[in-house]
Amino acid sequence: MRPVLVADSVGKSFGGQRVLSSATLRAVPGQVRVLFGTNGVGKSTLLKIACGAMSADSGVIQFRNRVLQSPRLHKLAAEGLFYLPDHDLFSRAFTVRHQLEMIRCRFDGRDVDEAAQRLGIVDHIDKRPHQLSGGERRRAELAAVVVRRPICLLADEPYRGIPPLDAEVMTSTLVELARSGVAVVITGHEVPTLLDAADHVSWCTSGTTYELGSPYAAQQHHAFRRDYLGMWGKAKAV
Amino acid sequence: MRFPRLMIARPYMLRGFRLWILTRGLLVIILALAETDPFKLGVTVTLALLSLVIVVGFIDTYRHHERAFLSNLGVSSITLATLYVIPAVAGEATLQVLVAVA
Repeated sequence: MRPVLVADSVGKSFGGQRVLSSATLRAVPGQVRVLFGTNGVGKSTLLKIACGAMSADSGVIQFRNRVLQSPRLHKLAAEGLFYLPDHDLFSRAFTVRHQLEMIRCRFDGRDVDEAAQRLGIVDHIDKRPHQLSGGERRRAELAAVVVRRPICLLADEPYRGIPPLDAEVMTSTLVELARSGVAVVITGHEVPTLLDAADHVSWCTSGTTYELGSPYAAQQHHAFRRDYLGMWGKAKAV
Repeated sequence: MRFPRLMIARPYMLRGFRLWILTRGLLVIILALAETDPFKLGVTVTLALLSLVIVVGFIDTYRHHERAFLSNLGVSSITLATLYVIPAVAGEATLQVLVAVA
């Protein structure tokens, strides 16, 4: 299937330091694609560039078969993209319900209570985001995705700091979204959880990205095992 | 620019109104202390006041960590600035009419 979003040959420097030289990100409908990479290697930067939250020094962004000269998140969001940042998505000024209703109202989205039920945040929906624990907040953010019904989701480290039980709910929701046709791209370091969810694995290293293929193929990739998976990869290989 | 639906626009316009009250109140105090009529403002001062409402509005937006949320709603910075400034313009216009009538 054709990718709905492509960030091709992306280059980006910060203060003279090259973070990305030729990195590529593809979001394919029906797939959960996971982008692995060590801290500071440019995963979040690549995601931000792909969704228009940050400008690239070089490279091409295509969304829905259109090459975008200067992509902007608010424009892409209006056309079906949803970006889940690594920090809090929600405003601290309004309740979770209010913000979910805003999304539903703007995009004629799914029922808010249904999404809250799905993600197990019914008891917290009338609280403000800062009154929620990290895991509850992350689930509430995923409820926003469910309400929005995007065609493409870019989620930056959605599993960070959440307990295994919440991770299970999140994985099943992300996989369900992908099976319904959403193109899902996730970054993170939670290797077993992410490999369980993934249809495709990419590896971001030394300013570029490598398409490793299926989770099984990724685990067989020698350099990926040696330089990223470490002991976990060795254990799995044995 | 696409104007957002009322459910999204309303809380930000309300915030713009509160910020206008706050900045206008401060300006009234400052001008009163300077023994200048605080209700008869020149064009430059009015434009500066409206700009200040937008700037404080954006600071408030960052304080509440709202940029990603608003972008995901399809709200651009220009739209947000418009939402903040509309109540300020309306308030300022109303004030000028009231001063003229009085």
